[in-house]
Amino acid sequence: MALHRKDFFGLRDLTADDIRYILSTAETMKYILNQKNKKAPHLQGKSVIILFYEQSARAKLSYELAAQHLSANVVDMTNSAHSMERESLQDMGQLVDQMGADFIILRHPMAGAARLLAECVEASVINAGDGYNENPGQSLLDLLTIKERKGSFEGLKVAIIGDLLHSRVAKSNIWGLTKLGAEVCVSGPPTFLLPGIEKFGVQVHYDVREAVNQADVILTTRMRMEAQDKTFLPSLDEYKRFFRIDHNLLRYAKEDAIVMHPGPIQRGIEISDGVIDSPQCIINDQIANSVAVRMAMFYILSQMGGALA
Amino acid sequence: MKTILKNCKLITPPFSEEKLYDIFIEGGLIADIGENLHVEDAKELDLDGHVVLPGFIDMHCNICEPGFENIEDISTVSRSAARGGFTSITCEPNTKPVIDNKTVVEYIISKSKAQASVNIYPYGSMSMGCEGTAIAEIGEMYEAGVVAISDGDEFIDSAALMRNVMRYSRMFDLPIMTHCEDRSLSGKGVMNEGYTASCLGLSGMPREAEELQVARNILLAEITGARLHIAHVSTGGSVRMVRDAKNVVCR
Repeated sequence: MALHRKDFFGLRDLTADDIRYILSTAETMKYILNQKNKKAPHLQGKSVIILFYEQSARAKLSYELAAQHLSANVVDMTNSAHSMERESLQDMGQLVDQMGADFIILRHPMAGAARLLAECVEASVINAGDGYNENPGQSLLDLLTIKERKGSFEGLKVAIIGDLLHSRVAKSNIWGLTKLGAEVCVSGPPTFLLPGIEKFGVQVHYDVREAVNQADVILTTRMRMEAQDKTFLPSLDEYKRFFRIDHNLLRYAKEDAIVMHPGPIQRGIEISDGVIDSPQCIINDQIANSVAVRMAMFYILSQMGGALA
Repeated sequence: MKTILKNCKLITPPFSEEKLYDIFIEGGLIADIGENLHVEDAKELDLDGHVVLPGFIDMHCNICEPGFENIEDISTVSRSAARGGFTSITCEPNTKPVIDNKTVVEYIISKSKAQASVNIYPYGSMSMGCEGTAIAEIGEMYEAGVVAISDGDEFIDSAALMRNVMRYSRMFDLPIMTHCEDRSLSGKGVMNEGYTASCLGLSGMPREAEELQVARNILLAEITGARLHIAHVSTGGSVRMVRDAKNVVCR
């Protein structure tokens, strides 16, 4: 089975079968990563353009490495941010497309940017994060990590804690987990709950202990305090007091529950030091999977669509 | 220590105003209320038909401590309250420093335990400093013991902030006491706007200064599910809106 698509925007457009296919492809990619010579010819002769309108360390690195491992040519256009601001996204896309690029990896502060770009280029567009909408790469690696630890998603109890309003990873995870049959509970400061969140098929709890009760997996989000957030949350201290994942809170979850975070993490705020350094927190596994998942995304798109078919 | 108050007139249900009752007090608590009580070793006080009432509760008091002790402090306010029959009073957050963090809450609670003869329940502020720009540390204050949140006599102009305060407070199920006054309308008014004010040549406060904000807060409370209490309602229009609203109370 294969995905007939040119681009990857997010998990909302994918079916459960699509997601399972991507995850099993990623597992195969891990074999390549475990070899001494991490090189495979899948993308030989193809070019990957990285277009990040937002800062990022981990995402950019993982896309670059993934493309390099598959023998593609990689060009990072983030330094031309100056010219990027002067040209519209469509024009930028045309520029890259006409020069014969095969893949464009786009991270942009506005929701829907990847879709907009994809409609006017022949290259395959991968959404590396668009505004508050989705981040499929991060979400798929979270799902892969969960699958490795827990086996299957059906009936798995997953708690998503924190800022759901601004977290695109949480949104993608909600789409993915609900499609795969997991039971999702969310909790966070009420000002950060997504309006209409019940329609996403998740249970909402004001008390974090109820959300975490008997959970198999706890996903946390980044809590950033920007100046304009002063009307949403009094302080990170207050977040920590009520929502931080620490040993006291973990007593409500299952004994073998795993704790995850997309990074970068603020130690002691989203998760306590004690839990971060304990074997229950598997952030390192997540990072280890980040390249494999992106390799899978490249490979699948190269088989199916865009200028490559 | 046993005491019996004899011949009391009780006007609260389920007691009848036609009869006289005796109240038996032991160890500082009311142990029994009935007609013609007799207990051995009990000191008897004849109230001769005087009325005995449950202690009153005042939900909007300015304690003035910390910060304004030249006007009033915890010990004087509790003595005034007790004299008037108020056994429980609340404390508006308009102290100095404002009650917007747990330190002030703990100060008031511990000082009240030590010096006050009545119960003093502090309110926490909705916004930092009661300035109406940033949300206050409501969770921290809830854990320290505030019973409700309020900005005293200040009004939060920003609907976005008011909405966020209401949503945030749902985590703790705290009642929200609001002073509804649009200062851009009430301005320097000293009485109700209208014929009398005009005759006297005094600036008036129009009823819309209160009613517009009552309407706004009621709507926000209905949408967010917050527990709204509207302080000192003073117009007929406000009363009508509170009556029609679901789950909103007022004073």
